[in-house]
Order: sequence, then C-alpha cells, then structure tokens
Amino acid sequence: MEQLFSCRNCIHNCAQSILIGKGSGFCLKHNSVLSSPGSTTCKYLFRKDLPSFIVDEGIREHAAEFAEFSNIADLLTHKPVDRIPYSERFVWEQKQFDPINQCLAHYHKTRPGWVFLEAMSGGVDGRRMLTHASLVRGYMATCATWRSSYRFVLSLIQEFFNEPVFADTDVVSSEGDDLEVVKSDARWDLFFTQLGGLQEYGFHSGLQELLWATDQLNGGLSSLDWDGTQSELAVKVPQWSALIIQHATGEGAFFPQAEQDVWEFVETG
Amino acid sequence: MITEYPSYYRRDEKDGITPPDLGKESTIVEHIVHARGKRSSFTSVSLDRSKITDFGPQLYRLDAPQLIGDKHHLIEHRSLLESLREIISASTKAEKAQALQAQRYAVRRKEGLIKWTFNTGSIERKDLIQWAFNHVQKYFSRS
Repeated sequence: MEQLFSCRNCIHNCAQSILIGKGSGFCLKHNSVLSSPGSTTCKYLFRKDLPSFIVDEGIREHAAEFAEFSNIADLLTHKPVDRIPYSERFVWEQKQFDPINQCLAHYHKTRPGWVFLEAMSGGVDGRRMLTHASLVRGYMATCATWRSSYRFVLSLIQEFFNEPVFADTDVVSSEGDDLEVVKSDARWDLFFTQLGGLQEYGFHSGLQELLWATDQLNGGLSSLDWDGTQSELAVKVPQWSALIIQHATGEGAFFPQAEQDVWEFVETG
Repeated sequence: MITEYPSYYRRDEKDGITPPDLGKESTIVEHIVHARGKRSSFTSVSLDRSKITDFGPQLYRLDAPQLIGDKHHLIEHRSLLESLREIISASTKAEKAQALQAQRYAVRRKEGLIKWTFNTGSIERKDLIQWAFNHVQKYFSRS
C-alpha cells in the first residue's frame, strides 16, 4: 500500500496529509467522514504533495484502477467503503469532535464557496493552513482557470511567511519517532501543498516563473533548510505577487471596475 | 572478497512481493514519488522496518548477496540520497520538483532501490508482470 495514493494525500481531504492530522478526516468530494484516511482512496484522488501536472500519468493510472467504484474504496483490498455522513451529535458522543472537520462538513452549505475559503486564510495553525491551501487548490482545479483564483493564490502565498504551529496531537508519528522531528517534517508537507498551489496557478495562467517556482528556491529548498528557504521566500514572494497582479491587470482581470461597482452597491445597500 | 550488506526490508502483500513493471521506463525520482504510477522497473526496500509499516501487512527481508550475485543492482540508501542531491542540483522543472519530494520520502523511509537487470527480451509485454512476479520472489524471505 502506498499512502501517496491515499485520502491523506488528497486535497479533497483538506485538513490532513501524510504527517498532519490524526484520526478521521473529511472528504469534500464524497461529503463523507474518512475513518481510515491512510488506507482509503478513490478515482478522484488529487495529490497534495506535488503539482497535479507533474504526476498526471500516475493519477490517470490510479483513476483507471478505481474506476469501477462510485465512492470511496480500500486502497489495499480494492473493496468499496461505505460513505459516512457527518454527524455533529455522533462526534460529541464519541468524543471525536474536531473543529476543522466540523467546518469542512459545513462547506457545501456555504454560499458562495469562496467565502468559506477566505475564512480559512491567515492563520498560524498548521492544520488550518493546510486546509486553506487544499481549498484554494480544489477551487482552482474545479474552475480550471486562473481568472477566478488569482485573489486566492495571492493570499495563499502570503502564508509562506506564517510560521505554522503544530500541537503534539496534530502530527502523525510512529512509535519511537522524535515528535519534534515529525513536526519539523510536517512543515514541509504544508509547504509543498502551498507551493503546489502556486505552481498549478502557473499552469493555468501560463506563467513559467510560477509553474517552475521550485527552480527559484535553489539554496534552502534543495537541502530542506527551513530558515534558508524562508530567506529566499522573503525575496521571491513579493516578486511572485507582483507578477500575478501584473499579469491579471494586463488581462483586464484584476478587480475589474464592474465587479467593484457590485461590491460598492452591496456595501451601501 | 565477501561484501557485507546491511539488512534491507520490504513490506508488501501476504502472497508475495509486488512485481516491478519491467516494461515501464522510469527514473529513480519518478519511481520514488510514483509520478508515473505505483509500479516501475525499480523495487523499493528500506533499512528500517519501522518506517514502512503502511506499505503492506507482510514484512520481507532482502537477500542482498543473492541479488548482487545475480548481477542485479542494489542502490544503497546513502548512494540513493547522494544521487537525489545531484539530481536536485543539476535538474530543472518537473524533475527538480519531483526530486525535492523524493529526497524527503527516501530519508523518511530510509529507502534503498533495486534496479533489476533481467533479460526480458523474449518475454511478451502482456506476460511481463507475471514473469517478474515469478522471478523476484526468491530474493525475499518472510521476516
């Protein structure tokens, strides 16, 4: 079994990754609680760890492997897994309440969906940051265009400067693991989920500098030096932000006047 | 001269080692991050059995001397990390992006790789997976 193909590594299960988020997850695609997210999957898997356009061959093969299932399936046994609707009462009764899963279970009740997405931005809680990055990538993939996502990607890359915080209970560790080492590696799970979002924006917008953002973080990132990478991001993020704004402006998509008028109308009533 | 190898392990299905797809050309980076699918022409092993618990219910131990004796290649963990570092510094675009994650995964799993050198010229493509299944089992024993 390979967890890279499990619900843990899928953007539709926003608040978990291979190393982040113990216990149950929640899948926005199937609107279902994931009781064993490391050992389930489905044909809609959208990997968190790398931008979709560089793992597309593997993803297509995986989708074909699980094509016969309409819902979630067991990654190892290839048996169907029942959908579990979220129940607030159940999680309290079972002492499994998780505020992020609780929010995610209400995602489809929020209109418009991007308000929910924005509400998740700007934190330092590592799980919440992972959720935000996953939501941005999911939104962009659904829309399949840069035009509706530039605002969210601008917001996403500002979060590179937020030092993520993980509680001991937030990370997935094995017996004998040094918890501080796991937390440190969990930061990279988050970082690559965020960076994948920027690269996917580069794909949709055709901006090569964003598409291959990994080529521009040569020093710190190559040796997984967190502080070194942060120093490089301090230079690159303002440049990337300016590029996104310049490109969107050039295409007439950067907060066009008609959209502004609508907002002013709404605000003034 | 007898070369001693550290113990390498693999977790896999109870009914045997998942065969490599000897017909699929992949780089070591593509193999580690599964960019081209779950199977490639390589087989992963690990120096630390506790780091691969999610890879299957059955633990196997690699018979490295027999593997090497039969002219297959064992890319040891340290060599693999050196290769990945070289790829990261020399590559660009997709290969670099994949290699950055491959490095993390290889470190976390204490991974080594087997590069098979079977002569499969006479085997039909459709039979290759089953053929590989039959031929790789002897290099592993249940642990």
